[in-house]
Amino acid sequence: MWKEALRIFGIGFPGVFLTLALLCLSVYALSALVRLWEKK
Amino acid sequence: MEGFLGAVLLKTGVLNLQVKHVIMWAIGFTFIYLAIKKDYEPLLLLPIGFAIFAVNLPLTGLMEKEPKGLLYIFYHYGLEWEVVPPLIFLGLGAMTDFGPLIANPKTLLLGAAAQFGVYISFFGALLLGFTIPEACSIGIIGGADGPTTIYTTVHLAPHLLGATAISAYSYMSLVPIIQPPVMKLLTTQKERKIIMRQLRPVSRTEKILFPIAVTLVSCLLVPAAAPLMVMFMLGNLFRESGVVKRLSDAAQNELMNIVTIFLGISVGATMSADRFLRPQSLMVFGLGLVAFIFSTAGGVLFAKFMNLFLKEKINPLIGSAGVSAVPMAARVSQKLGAEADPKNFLLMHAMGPNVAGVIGTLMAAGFFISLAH
Repeated sequence: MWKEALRIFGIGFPGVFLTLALLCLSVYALSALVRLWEKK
Repeated sequence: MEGFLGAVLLKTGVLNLQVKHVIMWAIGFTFIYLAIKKDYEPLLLLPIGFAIFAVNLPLTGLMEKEPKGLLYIFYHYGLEWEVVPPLIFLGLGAMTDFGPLIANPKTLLLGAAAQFGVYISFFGALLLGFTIPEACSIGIIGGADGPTTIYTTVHLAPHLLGATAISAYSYMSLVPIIQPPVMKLLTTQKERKIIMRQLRPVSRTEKILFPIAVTLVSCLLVPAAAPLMVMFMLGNLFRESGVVKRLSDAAQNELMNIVTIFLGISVGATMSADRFLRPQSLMVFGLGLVAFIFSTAGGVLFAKFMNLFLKEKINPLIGSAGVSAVPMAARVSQKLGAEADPKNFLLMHAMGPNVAGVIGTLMAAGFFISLAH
């Protein structure tokens, strides 16, 4: 059971961080593109 | 005559009433009291409290599977069919302004860090003898997000639904009491005085594209979170598009109110004496509190960690808002910041991690469901 629990933690917690970090980068990129487009 | 009276009495609930039912009535009445007198999450605690009372009236069959009782129908089609939590998220999306998050996207990381308590509580539950699916359902309480807790528990451990849902909503209403001591303990007066620069204005185009981008990225990475995430972002698109005001208003008001009634009744209906009066229920409440404390700590400590690398420091008090509980947790950050320096205005800065916490909890739930199912 503990092996399974560690697998869930080992994938889940870094997975949450990774997903939100990618979202963070996506939002930065999106904002930059929109502002660039709006300037034109 | 005596035989007739005896037969009639046997058919009434009176002779079937047991102490355990009366204890559950007391619990139900306590929730009704807290909702009316103390204003603790009244929209949910009131229907939950009454449903607890009703479902523990003997022989009513309200939660019988065959023939289907009224409350069982609400529970089965509302929660087991996964209809109500996604509709709640549609309304939440229509109510949420992601502007502060778009203006300062790095606060998304605080929403991830504040899921720390979820995993602490997950391991705590395992140590206390719960199974992995049960531990996931208990851990997610630390996300401070009622509908996500309900959604995860229905998937993984439906027999714990009453305890996890009540625990999540109770602690959400107690955020102003639970969080401040943890926040003060982990920050210095100097850190609490950090003043953050005003957020930049966010354009309408950014706000319209945001829900589409978030749906794309999050659902590609964590497909199990899609039912809630898709509805959350659809509601937000209703709001930000500006062209479907009627739909946005309906999602925020009429629909939200209707599904809240069904949510409250369905959760309360699962709290029959046989299911709820167990030591496990008390353990769930204890672990829920542990989850809240560690989630708060995770957010604050990660904000301090980010400050090691940031030129423009962030006030670590906004880290605690990553536990969701929108907007209560953000208000707590604002209050403590203003206590340290009356010129400090943290509310809008804290709204970023606050809504990021909702997304973070959805992701944590998605991982739990896909890995533990």
